[in-house]
Amino acid sequence: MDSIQNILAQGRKTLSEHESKQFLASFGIPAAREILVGDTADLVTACKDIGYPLVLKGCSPHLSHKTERGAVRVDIRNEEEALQAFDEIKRSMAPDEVSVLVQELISGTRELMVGLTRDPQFGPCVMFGLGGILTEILKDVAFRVAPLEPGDAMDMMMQIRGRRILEAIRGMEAVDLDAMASILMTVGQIGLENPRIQEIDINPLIIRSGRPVAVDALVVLN
Amino acid sequence: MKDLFYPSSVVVIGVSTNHFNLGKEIARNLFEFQYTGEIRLVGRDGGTIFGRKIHLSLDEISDPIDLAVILTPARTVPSILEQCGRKGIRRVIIESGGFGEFDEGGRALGERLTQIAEQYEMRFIGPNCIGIINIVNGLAVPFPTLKNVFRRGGVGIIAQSGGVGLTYLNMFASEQIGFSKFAAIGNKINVDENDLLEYYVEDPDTSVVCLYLESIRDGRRLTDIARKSSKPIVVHKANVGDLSRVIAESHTEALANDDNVVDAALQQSGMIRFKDTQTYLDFLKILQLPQMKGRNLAIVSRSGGHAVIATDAAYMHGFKLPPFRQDFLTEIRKHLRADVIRLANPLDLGDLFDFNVYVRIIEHTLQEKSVDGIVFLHTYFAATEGEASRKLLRTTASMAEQYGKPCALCISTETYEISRLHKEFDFPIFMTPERAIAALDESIKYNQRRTFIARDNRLVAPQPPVDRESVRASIRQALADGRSPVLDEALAIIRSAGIDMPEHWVVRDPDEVDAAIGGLPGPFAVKVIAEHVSHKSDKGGVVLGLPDPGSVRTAVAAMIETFRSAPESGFRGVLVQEMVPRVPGAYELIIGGKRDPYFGPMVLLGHGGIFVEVFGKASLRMAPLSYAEIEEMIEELPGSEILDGVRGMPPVDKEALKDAVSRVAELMVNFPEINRIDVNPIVASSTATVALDARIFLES
Repeated sequence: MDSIQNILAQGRKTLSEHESKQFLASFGIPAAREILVGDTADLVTACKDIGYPLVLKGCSPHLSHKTERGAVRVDIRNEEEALQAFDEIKRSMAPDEVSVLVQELISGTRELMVGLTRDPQFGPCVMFGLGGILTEILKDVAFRVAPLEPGDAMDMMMQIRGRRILEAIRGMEAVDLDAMASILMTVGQIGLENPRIQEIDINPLIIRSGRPVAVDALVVLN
Repeated sequence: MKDLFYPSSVVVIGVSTNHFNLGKEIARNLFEFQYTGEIRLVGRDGGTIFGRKIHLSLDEISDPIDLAVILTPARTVPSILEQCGRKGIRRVIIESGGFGEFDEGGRALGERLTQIAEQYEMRFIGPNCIGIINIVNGLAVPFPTLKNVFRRGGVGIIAQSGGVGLTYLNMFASEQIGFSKFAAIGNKINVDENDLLEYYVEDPDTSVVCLYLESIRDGRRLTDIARKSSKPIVVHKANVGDLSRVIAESHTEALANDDNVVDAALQQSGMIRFKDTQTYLDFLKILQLPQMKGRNLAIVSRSGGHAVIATDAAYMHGFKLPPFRQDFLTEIRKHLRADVIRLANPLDLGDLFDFNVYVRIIEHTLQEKSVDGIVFLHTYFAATEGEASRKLLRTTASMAEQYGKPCALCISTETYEISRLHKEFDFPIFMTPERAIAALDESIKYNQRRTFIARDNRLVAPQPPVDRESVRASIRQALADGRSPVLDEALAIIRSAGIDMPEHWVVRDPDEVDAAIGGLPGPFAVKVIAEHVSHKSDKGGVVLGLPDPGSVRTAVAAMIETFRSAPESGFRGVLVQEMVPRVPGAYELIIGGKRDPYFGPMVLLGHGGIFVEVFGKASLRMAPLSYAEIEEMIEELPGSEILDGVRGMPPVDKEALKDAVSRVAELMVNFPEINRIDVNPIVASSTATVALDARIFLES
């Protein structure tokens, strides 16, 4: 991927979903496996590579509110469905920038979010909370100023009201808190080392067999 | 009840000249409060006290007596009560302790009192209490020695604890709140809070009722009275947890209530519950002011910092600070000597020192149509500005009264000055804007609640109606077998109630599977039907997502194998259920019913699945319910916005959901045999509300 400098040189302020996750993965944050494709030939190969069921998402730095704009198709079970979905997503994008993410379907009912915000007074701050639709509805979020010690990370996870979902509930494994803590600390560190990053939003971070996987992410520059 | 408070003659029984005698303190209080009726004293040692003869027995008194107050050892009380009965005394206050709150023997004595009262058609308050005060006629019979330092006013007090009741009196007196009637009811084995509440609600001297309760025995009657009351009923219900249970029982024979039920029932019937004395008091103070009709607040402050704090509090409690009209501001500006203050809402009076200008600004603010109420923050040093400030505050209070809008006065000054204000003023003052604003918020919520209750009386009547005959037959069948309905029977009852559910079949052999499910496409769920297995999934009694008849047969065979070899499970068969396809925007909910021993049938709506962990709290109501109440239950469900459709999801069909809740309410109301219902999960989506599983428990 392009370096942050290059992206800024292109006059862009945001990384695409794919760039964002590649960037975060380069620091060791686990992300869903995905391949970016531009045409149907690449699509078919990528789908075989990722394996069904999978997710197709329009991917462009200019594309926000993907779900609401119909640029996300989940639970695609075969090539036929993939081709049809690709076609539909293509229509929601400008013709000269068609690029679609072929992504593994991460199954898990628990969604979390991790974020970074650069506060004008306190500098980079790490956020942790419930993810997906619950982020907006419950605003159940904990903040810590970076850098984070392991104790800070554990502490902030225990601070949210919905912390029970981190436990082994309803026959699901407990969330791997060490893995989560490491993501929180890493995000704080990214904020400290990259002053041009204004915010990071990893949401949702789906819990698969107890371990967190970044399914969607956005990095915004300043 | 009125006869208790307005007797024309009182006899105090248990009086002696002994220094430690408490009975004579009752007499002392009657003199202290200048009781307007006849006072007679009885004590077995005779003598004279306060210039009155102590009669050796009731028989010595030939005149008729309206009220007897008894404070003698518990074991003597039944015979004394009987003497009262024979003499024709129909109202009695029994202050002695040593009854049910003490031991089993005491409980038996209490039962004897009940019988005697019934025999002579007497009503009595207590035992184990300090009795009543009527400030209007000076009837004051508590045994603790009192000074009449209290104010006369509109607050009626009913307390299960005499100590807490007296604390209320002191607290109210020091906060410029007057009272009308006081009753400490102790073990309340004859007259209870409901009898008194019913009377206070009608009593012309009472405008607000304050309750302190440690137990509620007849919750339905309490809520029925409250619903009809046009007067605010403020409740401190204590004894909420395991830690207080023992002390409360030995204190007033109080048995604990389910606190969630109390919360729900009080709210539903328009009572206001507080869990700490401070907010309770703040609310009573706000009730002394004119009612705030909307959420538009003006903040006027002498200090900028206090204005900021007040504005924060207004924000947190959902108030609006409407900008003032330009011509209003121009009008104010005319009164200013110089342009030293920035005119806005909140209004920081800053360097302005002329209190006459303050008065004009506040009057203008009260006249503003866009302003529903004012918080005025006044900071001063008594030594230099005391007199002028007191005048300013008095003028402000009377102007607010005149314009019919509340003006909460928040005062920061020296402690001795505060004490002086409490003594001299007859309107409330607040120490912090946060507390004043929180109380204003409570008062608005209270008024909204009353409006809701006043317009809302149409109870649910689902169409088509619940098939009561089928439900009754299912219940009879289970009762005849001395058990609760098993899975398929519970589902049958829920279906007869008119709630949608996927198709299901009961099989007792894998070979029955194909015939049952026919050519229907999968997937299917398989669930054990066993009398003693109610948490099926914990016991391996649920298998989901079976794609075809083959896998269903295998699962059925395995389940039969497992549960047949466990006779204690009470295995009866296997339920094969069609699985509904998950449409986008479908949410798992729980609809429940339970029968509370004090408040009767209750209905519960909560999140299901993983959201139980996230949202926790469910909404709870007494049944029968109105549709408006069911709507409220849905709205107050934490995170209920998800039901309106988020992130492009279609909204849930609320009518279908309301209908399902109404049907569970119907079952709870019409079938007293049902102790508990759990419809869990029930899936609400944009197209339907579908029950996937249900458990029903009958009264054992």
